[in-house]
Amino acid sequence: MLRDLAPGMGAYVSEADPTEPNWEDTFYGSNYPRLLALKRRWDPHGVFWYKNAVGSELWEPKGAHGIENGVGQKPVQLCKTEDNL
Amino acid sequence: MVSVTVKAYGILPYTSFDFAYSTTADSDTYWTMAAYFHNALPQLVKSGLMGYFWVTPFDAKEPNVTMQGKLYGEWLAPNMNVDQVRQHLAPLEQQIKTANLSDAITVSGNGEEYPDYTKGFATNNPPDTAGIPVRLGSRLLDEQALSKPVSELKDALRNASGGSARWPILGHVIAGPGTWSPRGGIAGGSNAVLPAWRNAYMQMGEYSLAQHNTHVLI
Repeated sequence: MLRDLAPGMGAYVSEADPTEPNWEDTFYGSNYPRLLALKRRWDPHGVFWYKNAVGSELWEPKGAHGIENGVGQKPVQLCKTEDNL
Repeated sequence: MVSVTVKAYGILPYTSFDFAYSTTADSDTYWTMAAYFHNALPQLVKSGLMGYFWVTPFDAKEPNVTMQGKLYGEWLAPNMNVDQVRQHLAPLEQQIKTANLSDAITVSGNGEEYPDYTKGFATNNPPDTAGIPVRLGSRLLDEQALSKPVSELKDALRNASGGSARWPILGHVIAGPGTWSPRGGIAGGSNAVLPAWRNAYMQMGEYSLAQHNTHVLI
Protein backbone atom coordinates (compact mmCIF):
# COMPACT_ATOMS: atom_id res chain seq x y z
CA MET A 1 0.00 0.00 0.00
CA LEU A 2 1.02 3.64 -0.28
CA ARG A 3 1.86 3.75 3.43
CA ASP A 4 4.66 1.30 2.72
CA LEU A 5 6.00 3.47 -0.10
CA ALA A 6 6.41 6.49 2.15
CA PRO A 7 6.52 5.28 5.77
CA GLY A 8 8.13 8.47 7.05
CA MET A 9 5.63 10.85 5.52
CA GLY A 10 2.07 11.29 6.74
CA ALA A 11 -1.43 12.12 5.65
CA TYR A 12 -3.59 15.18 5.12
CA VAL A 13 -5.80 15.18 8.20
CA SER A 14 -8.79 16.82 6.52
CA GLU A 15 -9.10 14.08 3.89
CA ALA A 16 -7.78 11.09 5.78
CA ASP A 17 -9.12 7.90 7.27
CA PRO A 18 -10.51 8.66 10.76
CA THR A 19 -9.32 5.22 11.87
CA GLU A 20 -5.74 5.96 10.77
CA PRO A 21 -3.33 4.13 13.09
CA ASN A 22 -0.67 6.18 14.87
CA TRP A 23 -2.58 9.28 13.87
CA GLU A 24 -0.64 11.67 16.10
CA ASP A 25 2.54 11.15 14.07
CA THR A 26 0.73 10.69 10.76
CA PHE A 27 -1.21 13.96 10.95
CA TYR A 28 1.08 16.19 13.03
CA GLY A 29 4.57 14.62 12.88
CA SER A 30 7.28 15.87 15.20
CA ASN A 31 5.15 18.88 16.16
CA TYR A 32 2.66 16.79 18.12
CA PRO A 33 4.20 17.08 21.63
CA ARG A 34 4.28 20.87 21.37
CA LEU A 35 0.76 21.02 19.97
CA LEU A 36 -0.51 18.81 22.77
CA ALA A 37 1.13 21.03 25.38
CA LEU A 38 -0.62 24.05 23.85
CA LYS A 39 -3.92 22.18 23.81
CA ARG A 40 -3.60 21.28 27.48
CA ARG A 41 -2.83 24.88 28.35
CA TRP A 42 -5.47 26.69 26.34
CA ASP A 43 -8.31 24.12 26.20
CA PRO A 44 -7.94 22.07 29.38
CA HIS A 45 -11.63 21.09 29.37
CA GLY A 46 -11.69 19.82 25.79
CA VAL A 47 -14.30 22.29 24.58
CA PHE A 48 -13.04 21.89 21.00
CA TRP A 49 -12.91 18.20 20.14
CA TYR A 50 -13.05 16.02 17.13
CA LYS A 51 -11.56 12.63 16.46
CA ASN A 52 -7.86 12.84 15.61
CA ALA A 53 -7.60 16.49 16.64
CA VAL A 54 -4.72 17.38 18.94
CA GLY A 55 -5.60 16.14 22.42
CA SER A 56 -8.57 14.06 21.28
CA GLU A 57 -6.94 11.03 22.87
CA LEU A 58 -7.60 12.67 26.26
CA TRP A 59 -11.31 11.94 25.75
CA GLU A 60 -12.94 8.66 24.92
CA PRO A 61 -16.12 8.68 22.83
CA LYS A 62 -18.66 6.21 24.18
CA GLY A 63 -21.75 5.15 22.30
CA ALA A 64 -23.65 2.18 20.98
CA HIS A 65 -22.89 2.35 17.30
CA GLY A 66 -19.37 0.99 16.94
CA ILE A 67 -16.50 2.42 14.95
CA GLU A 68 -18.19 5.57 13.69
CA ASN A 69 -18.69 6.94 17.14
CA GLY A 70 -16.49 9.97 17.41
CA VAL A 71 -16.22 10.49 13.68
CA GLY A 72 -19.18 12.79 13.82
CA GLN A 73 -22.00 10.75 12.40
CA LYS A 74 -23.50 9.48 15.64
CA PRO A 75 -24.13 11.07 19.04
CA VAL A 76 -21.66 9.99 21.68
CA GLN A 77 -20.58 10.87 25.17
CA LEU A 78 -17.05 12.12 25.71
CA CYS A 79 -15.42 10.73 28.84
CA LYS A 80 -12.05 11.55 30.30
CA THR A 81 -9.36 8.96 29.78
CA GLU A 82 -7.01 7.96 32.60
CA ASP A 83 -4.34 10.34 31.24
CA ASN A 84 -6.78 13.19 31.62
CA LEU A 85 -8.02 12.64 35.16
CA MET B 1 -12.84 42.00 14.32
CA VAL B 2 -10.86 45.21 14.31
CA SER B 3 -8.51 44.75 11.37
CA VAL B 4 -8.44 43.00 8.02
CA THR B 5 -5.42 42.67 5.78
CA VAL B 6 -5.89 41.71 2.15
CA LYS B 7 -3.04 40.69 -0.09
CA ALA B 8 -3.46 41.25 -3.79
CA TYR B 9 -1.57 39.29 -6.41
CA GLY B 10 -1.12 39.89 -10.10
CA ILE B 11 -3.31 38.19 -12.70
CA LEU B 12 -1.83 34.84 -13.61
CA PRO B 13 -2.27 33.33 -17.08
CA TYR B 14 -2.37 29.56 -17.27
CA THR B 15 -3.23 26.54 -19.37
CA SER B 16 -5.81 23.95 -18.38
CA PHE B 17 -4.85 20.64 -19.95
CA ASP B 18 -7.15 17.62 -19.82
CA PHE B 19 -5.45 14.29 -20.35
CA ALA B 20 -6.41 10.62 -20.40
CA TYR B 21 -4.43 7.42 -20.75
CA SER B 22 -6.69 4.43 -21.36
CA THR B 23 -6.16 0.70 -21.70
CA THR B 24 -7.70 -2.60 -20.61
CA ALA B 25 -9.28 -2.49 -17.15
CA ASP B 26 -7.17 -3.60 -14.18
CA SER B 27 -4.56 -5.13 -16.48
CA ASP B 28 -0.82 -5.44 -16.07
CA THR B 29 -0.55 -2.81 -18.79
CA TYR B 30 -2.80 -0.50 -16.80
CA TRP B 31 -0.80 -0.68 -13.59
CA THR B 32 2.52 -0.45 -15.42
CA MET B 33 1.28 2.68 -17.12
CA ALA B 34 0.13 4.05 -13.77
CA ALA B 35 3.58 3.37 -12.31
CA TYR B 36 5.26 5.19 -15.22
CA PHE B 37 2.96 8.12 -14.58
CA HIS B 38 3.87 8.30 -10.89
CA ASN B 39 7.58 7.94 -11.67
CA ALA B 40 7.24 11.00 -13.90
CA LEU B 41 5.46 13.18 -11.35
CA PRO B 42 8.51 14.69 -9.60
CA GLN B 43 9.89 15.98 -12.90
CA LEU B 44 6.49 17.23 -14.02
CA VAL B 45 6.07 19.11 -10.74
CA LYS B 46 9.55 20.60 -11.03
CA SER B 47 8.64 21.80 -14.52
CA GLY B 48 5.78 23.82 -13.00
CA LEU B 49 2.74 21.60 -13.49
CA MET B 50 0.13 21.02 -10.83
CA GLY B 51 -3.26 19.37 -11.01
CA TYR B 52 -5.48 16.47 -10.15
CA PHE B 53 -5.88 13.01 -11.60
CA TRP B 54 -7.93 9.87 -11.12
CA VAL B 55 -6.54 6.38 -11.08
CA THR B 56 -9.60 4.49 -12.31
CA PRO B 57 -8.75 0.84 -12.96
CA PHE B 58 -12.27 0.13 -14.17
CA ASP B 59 -14.52 2.77 -15.70
CA ALA B 60 -17.95 1.17 -16.07
CA LYS B 61 -19.19 4.12 -18.14
CA GLU B 62 -16.64 3.45 -20.90
CA PRO B 63 -18.20 1.15 -23.55
CA ASN B 64 -14.88 0.35 -25.24
CA VAL B 65 -13.37 -2.56 -23.30
CA THR B 66 -9.88 -1.65 -24.52
CA MET B 67 -10.22 1.72 -22.75
CA GLN B 68 -11.96 0.88 -19.47
CA GLY B 69 -8.80 1.24 -17.43
CA LYS B 70 -8.29 4.99 -17.25
CA LEU B 71 -5.83 7.38 -15.71
CA TYR B 72 -7.13 10.84 -16.42
CA GLY B 73 -7.13 14.34 -15.03
CA GLU B 74 -6.33 18.00 -15.50
CA TRP B 75 -3.00 19.76 -15.42
CA LEU B 76 -2.96 23.38 -14.34
CA ALA B 77 0.06 25.12 -15.81
CA PRO B 78 0.66 28.72 -14.70
CA ASN B 79 2.54 30.90 -17.16
CA MET B 80 2.58 28.18 -19.82
CA ASN B 81 0.86 27.75 -23.15
CA VAL B 82 -0.51 24.48 -24.53
CA ASP B 83 2.64 23.66 -26.49
CA GLN B 84 4.81 24.04 -23.40
CA VAL B 85 2.57 21.65 -21.45
CA ARG B 86 2.79 19.11 -24.26
CA GLN B 87 6.59 19.39 -24.25
CA HIS B 88 6.71 18.61 -20.53
CA LEU B 89 4.42 15.60 -20.98
CA ALA B 90 6.23 14.29 -24.05
CA PRO B 91 8.85 12.08 -22.28
CA LEU B 92 6.17 10.30 -20.24
CA GLU B 93 3.88 9.82 -23.21
CA GLN B 94 6.77 8.60 -25.35
CA GLN B 95 7.58 6.05 -22.64
CA ILE B 96 3.96 4.90 -22.52
CA LYS B 97 3.72 4.57 -26.30
CA THR B 98 7.01 2.71 -26.78
CA ALA B 99 7.04 0.44 -23.71
CA ASN B 100 5.79 -2.53 -25.75
CA LEU B 101 3.21 -3.47 -23.12
CA SER B 102 0.79 -6.26 -23.87
CA ASP B 103 -2.33 -4.10 -24.29
CA ALA B 104 -2.79 -1.01 -26.41
CA ILE B 105 -2.83 2.38 -24.67
CA THR B 106 -4.80 5.33 -25.98
CA VAL B 107 -3.18 8.68 -25.17
CA SER B 108 -5.23 11.85 -25.43
CA GLY B 109 -4.79 15.43 -24.30
CA ASN B 110 -6.40 18.77 -24.98
CA GLY B 111 -5.46 22.15 -23.56
CA GLU B 112 -7.00 25.59 -23.35
CA GLU B 113 -5.21 28.80 -22.43
CA TYR B 114 -6.74 31.30 -20.01
CA PRO B 115 -5.52 34.84 -19.33
CA ASP B 116 -6.67 34.80 -15.68
CA TYR B 117 -6.18 31.80 -13.36
CA THR B 118 -8.89 32.76 -10.89
CA LYS B 119 -11.56 33.29 -13.53
CA GLY B 120 -10.52 30.25 -15.54
CA PHE B 121 -10.57 27.95 -12.50
CA ALA B 122 -13.99 29.24 -11.48
CA THR B 123 -15.29 28.63 -14.99
CA ASN B 124 -14.03 25.04 -15.09
CA ASN B 125 -14.89 24.21 -11.48
CA PRO B 126 -18.39 25.44 -10.63
CA PRO B 127 -19.74 25.11 -7.09
CA ASP B 128 -19.88 21.48 -6.07
CA THR B 129 -22.11 19.45 -3.81
CA ALA B 130 -21.08 18.83 -0.22
CA GLY B 131 -21.59 16.09 2.30
CA ILE B 132 -21.11 13.05 0.08
CA PRO B 133 -21.07 9.96 2.36
CA VAL B 134 -17.73 8.44 1.39
CA ARG B 135 -14.86 7.10 3.44
CA LEU B 136 -11.57 8.92 2.86
CA GLY B 137 -7.98 7.86 2.96
CA SER B 138 -4.85 9.95 2.45
CA ARG B 139 -1.12 9.62 2.06
CA LEU B 140 1.53 12.21 1.26
CA LEU B 141 4.15 11.03 -1.21
CA ASP B 142 7.66 12.40 -1.59
CA GLU B 143 10.14 12.02 -4.44
CA GLN B 144 11.62 8.90 -2.90
CA ALA B 145 8.23 7.18 -2.87
CA LEU B 146 7.39 8.27 -6.41
CA SER B 147 10.78 7.03 -7.63
CA LYS B 148 10.29 3.47 -6.46
CA PRO B 149 10.71 0.68 -9.03
CA VAL B 150 7.79 0.12 -11.37
CA SER B 151 7.02 -3.30 -9.87
CA GLU B 152 6.76 -1.82 -6.39
CA LEU B 153 4.60 1.10 -7.48
CA LYS B 154 2.29 -1.20 -9.43
CA ASP B 155 1.63 -3.35 -6.39
CA ALA B 156 1.18 -0.39 -4.06
CA LEU B 157 -1.28 1.37 -6.35
CA ARG B 158 -3.32 -1.74 -7.05
CA ASN B 159 -3.49 -2.63 -3.37
CA ALA B 160 -4.49 0.94 -2.51
CA SER B 161 -7.38 0.67 -4.97
CA GLY B 162 -8.64 -2.40 -3.17
CA GLY B 163 -7.22 -4.97 -5.59
CA SER B 164 -10.12 -6.64 -7.33
CA ALA B 165 -12.47 -4.04 -5.81
CA ARG B 166 -10.93 -1.55 -8.28
CA TRP B 167 -11.80 1.58 -6.32
CA PRO B 168 -10.70 4.87 -7.84
CA ILE B 169 -7.91 6.91 -6.26
CA LEU B 170 -7.59 10.68 -6.59
CA GLY B 171 -4.16 12.23 -6.89
CA HIS B 172 -3.69 15.82 -5.77
CA VAL B 173 -0.53 17.20 -7.33
CA ILE B 174 -0.51 20.26 -5.12
CA ALA B 175 2.90 20.33 -3.44
CA GLY B 176 6.55 20.29 -4.41
CA PRO B 177 9.44 22.73 -4.68
CA GLY B 178 7.17 25.61 -5.67
CA THR B 179 5.44 25.47 -2.31
CA TRP B 180 8.52 24.62 -0.27
CA SER B 181 10.27 27.78 -1.46
CA PRO B 182 7.53 30.36 -1.48
CA ARG B 183 7.89 33.63 -3.29
CA GLY B 184 6.02 36.87 -3.06
CA GLY B 185 4.83 36.31 0.49
CA ILE B 186 2.78 33.20 -0.25
CA ALA B 187 3.37 30.84 2.65
CA GLY B 188 2.59 27.59 0.85
CA GLY B 189 3.78 24.37 2.45
CA SER B 190 6.85 25.81 4.11
CA ASN B 191 4.97 26.53 7.33
CA ALA B 192 2.64 23.51 7.33
CA VAL B 193 1.81 22.01 10.72
CA LEU B 194 2.72 18.57 9.40
CA PRO B 195 6.43 18.72 8.46
CA ALA B 196 5.94 16.03 5.80
CA TRP B 197 4.37 18.65 3.53
CA ARG B 198 7.86 20.14 3.17
CA ASN B 199 8.95 17.01 1.32
CA ALA B 200 5.67 16.07 -0.34
CA TYR B 201 4.99 16.26 -4.04
CA MET B 202 1.41 15.15 -3.86
CA GLN B 203 -1.38 13.73 -1.79
CA MET B 204 -3.06 10.50 -2.83
CA GLY B 205 -6.63 10.26 -1.63
CA GLU B 206 -9.02 7.36 -1.63
CA TYR B 207 -12.76 7.84 -1.80
CA SER B 208 -14.42 4.59 -0.89
CA LEU B 209 -18.14 4.46 -1.51
CA ALA B 210 -18.33 1.41 0.75
CA GLN B 211 -20.11 1.53 4.05
CA HIS B 212 -18.68 3.57 6.89
CA ASN B 213 -17.65 0.57 8.91
CA THR B 214 -15.03 -0.46 6.36
CA HIS B 215 -11.40 0.54 6.48
CA VAL B 216 -9.70 2.26 3.61
CA LEU B 217 -6.64 0.55 2.23
CA ILE B 218 -4.37 3.42 1.24
